[in-house]
Amino acid sequence: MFEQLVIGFMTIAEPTNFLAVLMGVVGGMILGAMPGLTAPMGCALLIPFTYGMEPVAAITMLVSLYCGATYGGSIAAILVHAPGTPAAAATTFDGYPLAQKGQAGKALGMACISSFIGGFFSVIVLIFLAPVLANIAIKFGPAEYFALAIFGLSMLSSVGSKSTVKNLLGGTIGVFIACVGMDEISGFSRYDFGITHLMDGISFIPVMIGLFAATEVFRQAEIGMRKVAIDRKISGLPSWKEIKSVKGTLLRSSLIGTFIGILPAEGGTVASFIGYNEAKRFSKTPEKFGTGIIEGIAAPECANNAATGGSMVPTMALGIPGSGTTAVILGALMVHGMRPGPLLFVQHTQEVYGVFAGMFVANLLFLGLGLGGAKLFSQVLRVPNYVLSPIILVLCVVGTYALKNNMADVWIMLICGLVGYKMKEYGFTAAPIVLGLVLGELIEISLRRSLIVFDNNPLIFFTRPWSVALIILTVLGLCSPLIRSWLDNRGNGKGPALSEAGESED
Amino acid sequence: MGNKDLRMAIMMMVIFIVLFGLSFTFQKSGVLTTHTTAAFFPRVVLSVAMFLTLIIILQNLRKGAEAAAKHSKDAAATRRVVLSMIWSILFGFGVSFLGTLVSMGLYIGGIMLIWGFRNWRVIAANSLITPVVVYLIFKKVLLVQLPAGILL
Repeated sequence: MFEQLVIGFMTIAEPTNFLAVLMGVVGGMILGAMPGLTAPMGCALLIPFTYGMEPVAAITMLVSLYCGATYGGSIAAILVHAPGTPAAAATTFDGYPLAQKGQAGKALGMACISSFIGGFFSVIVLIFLAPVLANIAIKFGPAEYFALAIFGLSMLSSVGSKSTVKNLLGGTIGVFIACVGMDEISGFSRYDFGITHLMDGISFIPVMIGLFAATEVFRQAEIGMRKVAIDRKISGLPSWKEIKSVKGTLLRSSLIGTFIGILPAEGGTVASFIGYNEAKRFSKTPEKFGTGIIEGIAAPECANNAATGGSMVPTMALGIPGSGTTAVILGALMVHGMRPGPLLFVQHTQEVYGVFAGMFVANLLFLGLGLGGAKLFSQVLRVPNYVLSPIILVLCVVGTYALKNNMADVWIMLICGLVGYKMKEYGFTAAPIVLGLVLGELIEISLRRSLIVFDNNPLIFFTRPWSVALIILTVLGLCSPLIRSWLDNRGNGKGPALSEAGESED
Repeated sequence: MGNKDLRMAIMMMVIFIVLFGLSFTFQKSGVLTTHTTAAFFPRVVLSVAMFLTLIIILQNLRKGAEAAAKHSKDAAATRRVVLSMIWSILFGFGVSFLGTLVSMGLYIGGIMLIWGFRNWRVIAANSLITPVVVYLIFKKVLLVQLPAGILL
């Protein structure tokens, strides 16, 4: 493993790959700093730029953007009280009050250091855990894969919008979209409505770009012209003593974030709120939370960045996305001919370890860039949405067309953008639909293969140990909103509720 | 949001029922006589979708009229959204008819105007510079094909 990791670092040291990591981190920080622009949206928009790249450079660029954007969200959360990404919502509780006290530099510095520690910790876990998980999964048959994919879908009950039923319905719609086109087993076409293009099925990428990016353009149209003014002086960094004082919180949040990230469909938003609540629960001075204390920034920022590495574990080892962003990354892996799952570690060892090494480097880069250039990155908040939004839609159209040089994909993207906007109005979010779409094919194929192999006996799913275990986890996953509600109410409801994050799409 | 949600749920239910009905039109193999025909999985998925939609309908019926739409957008916001959507669709037609470069410029300028921005210098600069930069990056650096029309 260490030998492969060294090779991975050598791969990343190549100028093209290093440049890809750097561009990903910088792009992610810029994107994350802008309220309304999220990591999945950035990744979806970036995929077309990576078509011509080598797989390592392409995937590392996307993963670096994910890491950079997760940290970048704290910049707007601290400076203008508007989280740049949903995962940074908990950072506003103490970040903004600390900035109001004239210590914006210290708040930004703490967010950066905590993000680095969380991110770095989770990459170490990723490196050790993903191959182990892949080794277990390599023995999985279709019954286990079906149970695994259903478990991934069940976790949708607690991601995205506040309504469990709508999350699950969104996931189901995603699975249905995956049914469009040629049936792999019988070879007959379904729901193509006589349109030749639909016989090939609906590609992930146009749907993702439409739901994550085009929808946001229409949402910005609803908001209207917006220009952010930053009148805060950004100077100073946290002292070594202050960093040491939160070491317990950092360790706890790293563990929480990584664990939450590993759970399919859960992402940085959930991690950051649990991290914040747990820091408050363990604190000797919980009453100070929300008034602008360092610990209140360290806990959520460390947890949400720890979720980045964590969510890459099921994505790479099992082919089950750990979050909305990793669902997009999973799509990108497929575009570049790397099918996520246990065989990825056998067939693309060098690329996989290159991505791991790239994540290490990405975390180091945003630490350096964040500590040295937070003031510079905060300037992107000044870019008005009426300038940025049309550019985003232009990139959506051009990027989608570039996928197959086909206007049909552009229309699918635009339709998804319009439908996504309307669905958002009704409380649906994009992440469950995309996760459903990504898992749809796996669910159908594994279900039907299991039934064919075992003579249409559905009891097969209850006779194999891993399958039974995963079905039990699925039931628990469906009950997770109740568990979340219990967690929210812990500490006599003193902690902020996860629902305060609004619509989580990370 | 109650009534609005109810309307949406009923509309979705109708769509799911129609799609379920369409699954009976799929071809069946005369040789393979397993339960897993091409229609099997879509029917399972649509059944789950209909069940979940039914829950939303029941939830909203229980809420009743007291939960009627609280969220209302102002007319200007609705106008901006609708016009932006129409302009985006026209942009889709434009790229294949006029060409990418020209359409991008028109789209960017149009959206800024629709949103109420009236600084002509900024509009002109953004409409001219952005398309050229995007065009050069995709066409010359990334060597990606762009939709071609009668113009550039």
